[in-house]
Amino acid sequence: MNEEWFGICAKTPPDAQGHFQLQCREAYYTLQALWALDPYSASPEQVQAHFQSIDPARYSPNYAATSAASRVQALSRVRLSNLRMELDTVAAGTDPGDADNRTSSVDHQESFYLDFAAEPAPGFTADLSLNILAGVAENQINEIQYETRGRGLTGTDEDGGTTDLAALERLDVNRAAFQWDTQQGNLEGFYRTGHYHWAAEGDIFGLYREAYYGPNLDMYNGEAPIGLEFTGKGKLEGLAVAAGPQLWWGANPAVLARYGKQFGDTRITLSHQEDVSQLKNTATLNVIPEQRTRVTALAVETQKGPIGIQLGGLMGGTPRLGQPFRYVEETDDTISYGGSGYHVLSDEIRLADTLGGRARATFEKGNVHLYAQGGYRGLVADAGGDPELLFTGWTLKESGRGNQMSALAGAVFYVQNWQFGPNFLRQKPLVGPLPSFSGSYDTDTGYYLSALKARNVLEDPFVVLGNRETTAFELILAYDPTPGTWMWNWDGEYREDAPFAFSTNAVYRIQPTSRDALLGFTDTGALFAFPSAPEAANVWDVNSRVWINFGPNSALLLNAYVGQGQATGEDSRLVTRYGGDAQLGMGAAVVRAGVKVDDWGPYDYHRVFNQTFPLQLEAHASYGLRPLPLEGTTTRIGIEGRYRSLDEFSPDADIFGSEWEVRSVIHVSL
Amino acid sequence: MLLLLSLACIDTPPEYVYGIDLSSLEFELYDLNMGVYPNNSLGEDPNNPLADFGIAAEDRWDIYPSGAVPGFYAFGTWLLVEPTGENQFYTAQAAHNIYLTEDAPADQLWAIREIAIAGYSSVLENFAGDVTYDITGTIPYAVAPLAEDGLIALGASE
Repeated sequence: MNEEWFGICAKTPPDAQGHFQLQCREAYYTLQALWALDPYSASPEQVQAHFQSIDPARYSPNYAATSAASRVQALSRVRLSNLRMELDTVAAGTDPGDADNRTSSVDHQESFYLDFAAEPAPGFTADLSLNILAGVAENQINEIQYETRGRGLTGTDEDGGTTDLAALERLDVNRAAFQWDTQQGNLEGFYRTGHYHWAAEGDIFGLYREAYYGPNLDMYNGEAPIGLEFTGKGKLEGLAVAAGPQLWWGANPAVLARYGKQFGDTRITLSHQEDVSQLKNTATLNVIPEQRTRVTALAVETQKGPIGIQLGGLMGGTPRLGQPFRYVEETDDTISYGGSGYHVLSDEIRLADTLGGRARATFEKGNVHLYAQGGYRGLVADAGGDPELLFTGWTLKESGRGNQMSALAGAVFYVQNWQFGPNFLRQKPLVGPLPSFSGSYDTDTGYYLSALKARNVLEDPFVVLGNRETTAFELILAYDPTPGTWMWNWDGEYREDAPFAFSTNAVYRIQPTSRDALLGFTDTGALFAFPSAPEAANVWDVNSRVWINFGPNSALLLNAYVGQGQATGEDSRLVTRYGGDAQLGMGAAVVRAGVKVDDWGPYDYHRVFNQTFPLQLEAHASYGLRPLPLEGTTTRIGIEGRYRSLDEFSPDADIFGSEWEVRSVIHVSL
Repeated sequence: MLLLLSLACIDTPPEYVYGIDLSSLEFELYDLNMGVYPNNSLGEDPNNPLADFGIAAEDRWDIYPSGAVPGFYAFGTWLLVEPTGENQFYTAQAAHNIYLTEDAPADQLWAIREIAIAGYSSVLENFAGDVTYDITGTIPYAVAPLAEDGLIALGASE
């Protein structure tokens, strides 16, 4: 089409393939009308009359309409997909039991989210979410939140004066992602936007972890996951590659690849993980970067009727070859290491320590589902855990850590709408944890016995943590008349549509030996390893959940728990805790209430330092324009309250007797 | 897989740990900045018997009086764990003492003097405001003046 046509048709901007659309102008429709008359069969008078009857201005709306539609389509390539405003007023205070020393204050907090969506070309979409802070309430009793980043930052200028740096954190990229669908495959990029695991595609050792963290990512202002993931199509079917500086929270910068191929009923998958450097920092003790590793895994899965077989082998941790380590052997000899009752041996990581394997068999027929599994992992043959749901919502699973032998078995029986699911785990480390022992120096002989301390992930090639010696029993009892909305799904809490459903999960762990050390933050934010670990102790948990659906958008959800657990630091005090919560949704109205008794506080450091509160109460009541969605919020107004009492096991117990908070909540969302 | 396992079986067996004889420990130059923050070479020094499994915080005070060489390795190893002016100063002072007592190979005396100078300088550059304490652990002393005295004693210019 050349310039002689431009007065008749306009061109839209070209698409990704260089194609454009034509938009017919008034001249086109005028000529179309003119040529409706056959000039060879009409008289000159008829031709003149036909020309005079045609008014080009009458065709202007046609062109205006197509032109407007084209502009709308162009503008829709970038749009504001959501605007959220969270406006809170917070009243909070403390009561040390002395009326003269009670404190109270009122503060405010405003947090705004702008969500953008872009589609620069068909098959390519992108999303961006920005967060803008105005006020940050300084008096909240839950002091760690996403908005905390904007709290009172100061620095020292070159003259020694104080500079307010709070503005640096007022604008933050909360989420970003893009998806590009091509003929060769799908490419996804993500920044603080979750992604799924590869376990269902043959990654049975869980090298590529799932990266959905709910509110915790914002709470601790984590910067993960970040990276790219490519999934092949067509000739590249079965291939997936992921790379990024932190593909899951706490991951080292790495490249992962997976290739699987189906041969009849059998699938063979090869997976590889290559850490390219070491992640330096972490925002929470729940996520600690491990030492660099390299893992290659091969999985063979087959299904023959009701029987499934899964076999896998891996080699991992080869960058740690040659690293020294110590372990102990108990002795009754009169001579032991420093009189500790142990012999101490020194060894180094060898090739055999990098090898591991797993075998699993399943049987599913009718109302009976059975499985049995055995595994072996060399000292440094670490990988991910088992993220998949097998038959039901069991929590006892093989730890992804190396240094263990494990055996699991379980069964699920369905009797009408009832589900009964016993499960069993036995695991034992190949090399046990290190006991703590003070070193000593003999000034007479000049001999130094170096101290023994529990291993940690920062300094030692392997540790005993989740792979500690354990014999565990689990029992699930559930009632679900509508299994189509499976209660064990990640969104089962909100999707369950049965008029009544419940589940109870009880776990008892026998732990005859201790473990190695976990990590903590000092009050200045420095990461350190505890020198020891809690004593050996048995722990148990019982969790129950009840769903009652009254009708569309009206439901009651009840949770209750009781259990005895250990701190994740080094304190040996066992915590027996219980509590529960209830959420009632009646259309656009929501009421929530929760209670915890003798339980850890809401943050990771509470459990690390074994800090508990005698009583924790929470309540929320709000009303909105729509029912509360699964994620995010709707426009609503409400009120929240929190109360905590403190005792000798609580932080700041010598200052406060109790603390409370009442918050008005105004949230706006499109 | 079998080949890999068979290769693994050829490795040497583990060894019992009986303690480290620090009385016979001799200084061996590994890196010209060993024991000087932020250099980490002492952690990889094959001559440092404390490199693999470290030293406990309190043990360095027991080892230091037994000799300059064990004191250097003890404080230098702990400096890797806790980089403070106190640890840097005593590491430098131990190097200084090695030089004064000539408790190093003759062809390495110049190097241990340089290490002492670099250590004292590191105190002034990186830990100028740090302190050490007296034997009771209650009376603090600034380490910077002590480091300056060390530099003067070694005839080094600032």
